[in-house]
Amino acid sequence: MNDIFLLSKIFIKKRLNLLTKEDKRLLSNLKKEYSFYKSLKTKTLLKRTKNYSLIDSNAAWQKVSEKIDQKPTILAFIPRKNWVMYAAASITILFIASLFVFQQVDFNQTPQVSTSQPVIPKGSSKAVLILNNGEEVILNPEAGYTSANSTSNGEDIVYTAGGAKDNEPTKFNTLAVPRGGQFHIKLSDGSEVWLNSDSKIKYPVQFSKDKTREVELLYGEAYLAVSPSEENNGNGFHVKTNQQTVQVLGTEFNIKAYREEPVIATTLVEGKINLNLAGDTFLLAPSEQLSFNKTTKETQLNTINVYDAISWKKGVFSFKGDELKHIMTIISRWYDVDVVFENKELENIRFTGAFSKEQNLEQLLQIIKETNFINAYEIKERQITIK
Amino acid sequence: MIELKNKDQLDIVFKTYYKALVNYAGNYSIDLDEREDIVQDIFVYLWKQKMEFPNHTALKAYLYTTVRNKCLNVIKHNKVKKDFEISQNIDTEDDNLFQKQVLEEEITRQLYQIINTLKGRKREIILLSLKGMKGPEIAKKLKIEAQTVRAIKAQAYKIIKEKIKDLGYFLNLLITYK
Repeated sequence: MNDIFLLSKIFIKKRLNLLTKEDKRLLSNLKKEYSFYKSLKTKTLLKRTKNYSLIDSNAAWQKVSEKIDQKPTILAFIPRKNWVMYAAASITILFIASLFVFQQVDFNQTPQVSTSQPVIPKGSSKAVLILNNGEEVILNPEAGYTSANSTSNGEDIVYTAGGAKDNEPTKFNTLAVPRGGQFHIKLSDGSEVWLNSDSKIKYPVQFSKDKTREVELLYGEAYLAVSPSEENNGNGFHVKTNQQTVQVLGTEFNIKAYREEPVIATTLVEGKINLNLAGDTFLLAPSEQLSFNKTTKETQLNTINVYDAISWKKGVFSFKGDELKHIMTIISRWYDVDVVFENKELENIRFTGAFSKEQNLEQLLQIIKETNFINAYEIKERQITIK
Repeated sequence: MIELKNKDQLDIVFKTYYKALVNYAGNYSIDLDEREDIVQDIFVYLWKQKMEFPNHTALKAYLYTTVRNKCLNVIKHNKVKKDFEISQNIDTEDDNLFQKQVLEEEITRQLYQIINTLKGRKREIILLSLKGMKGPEIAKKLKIEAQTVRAIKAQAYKIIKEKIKDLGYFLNLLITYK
């Protein structure tokens, strides 16, 4: 859509001989992509401006102004915390992003939702820490934890810096984030791990001084910012995931390896990584994503918009032309709900846009419904039905 | 960041896009009154939801997309109600057409704005040059000196550029596009 707005400006500038070099370059590129540009006739468009004279925007503003000054008949709910929300929609194949932010929502605007239902809470920081001896510790903002080598305030867990003693066997901790959860770990070497909902990772409590650092993403999605080898006796860092191993030298990347999804996607944000996959090695450059299909064993290397792959870590889920089914899977993980499509065709509608993880589920569904591509939704217990 | 929770701001956005959105909805063969209602309702909704947009492109994209969706809904509804065939197949209507129509509307809107900024001879000359006429042709048509045409044109450009700058300042209309 940006391109379209840009083209409209260039069109006008061209007629007024105001094109800059940059404009000309852009125009020659955009003309190829949007072949209909050539068919535009200035005379026809000038004629169209006559229609505008038939529309009285002042009178219309009066009407709108009166409507918005009316007091609502029922009091709105208390405004929630500020939350960012981008959303967007278009038909089938779409690339129209409308990005907006709400601060407060009038619940009376959501006729499809019965307000007597308890509100499904958004996800929050929580995890289960499994200690070396198998003991399980529940972590959440109400339940912190402190041990000899780690402290957790219930939102993240920080391991004490320093290497393990040479003669001691390596101790491991495992952190499991449930559906509706997220968590942040700072490992003993200073590397950081952000875990998305429904994810599990195993790592040494202290890394050995003279061995490659190794962690294992058992399932789910993790964003890793790895502390460089130079600061760790030259020791590299490996992330094992089911069928692949990522070799790192100090970098940031995201691995998405959900059990129920057919594809493992590894996205490099910055630095360099080597990816070992069933005997093959792939070198990834920033913004590249390697997808590995667990069933067909096919691999695909694509250059992608990194933001969409890692926005979850920044509190936003963003999508570019993703199928509603996929979007609902992500929603189901964060809000810990099940999603059922009554009409299977709706699963394949594609959306572009994003929403904040801070926002409540009903508001989000309402936004999707506002696009008119779904007729209604229903929330019962923890199941959402898309109609 | 554009916050639509200040009524003056909403007014500016409304006055900037209202006519264009109503005219754009005309692509769906909906009568003028209904089109005006559709667009007005969208603005009332925007206000009630206290929406914020990171930039004007996002806002504009939202407006056009929403008008389009509402129109498609009206057409669907009418089709059921009156059971009459519509020429456009809603389900297969592609993005290409949408983009083309938005492009036409956006150009029309800006042309309208520019034309309405100018008066008298300035307006006349700019209109003719927009239609593709060169200076000497305009001079001949208006029976004035080519030099005068050039001078008036220069004045008009100055106003337009100023206008472009002003609008850009308020609404990122012609300057930024990212």
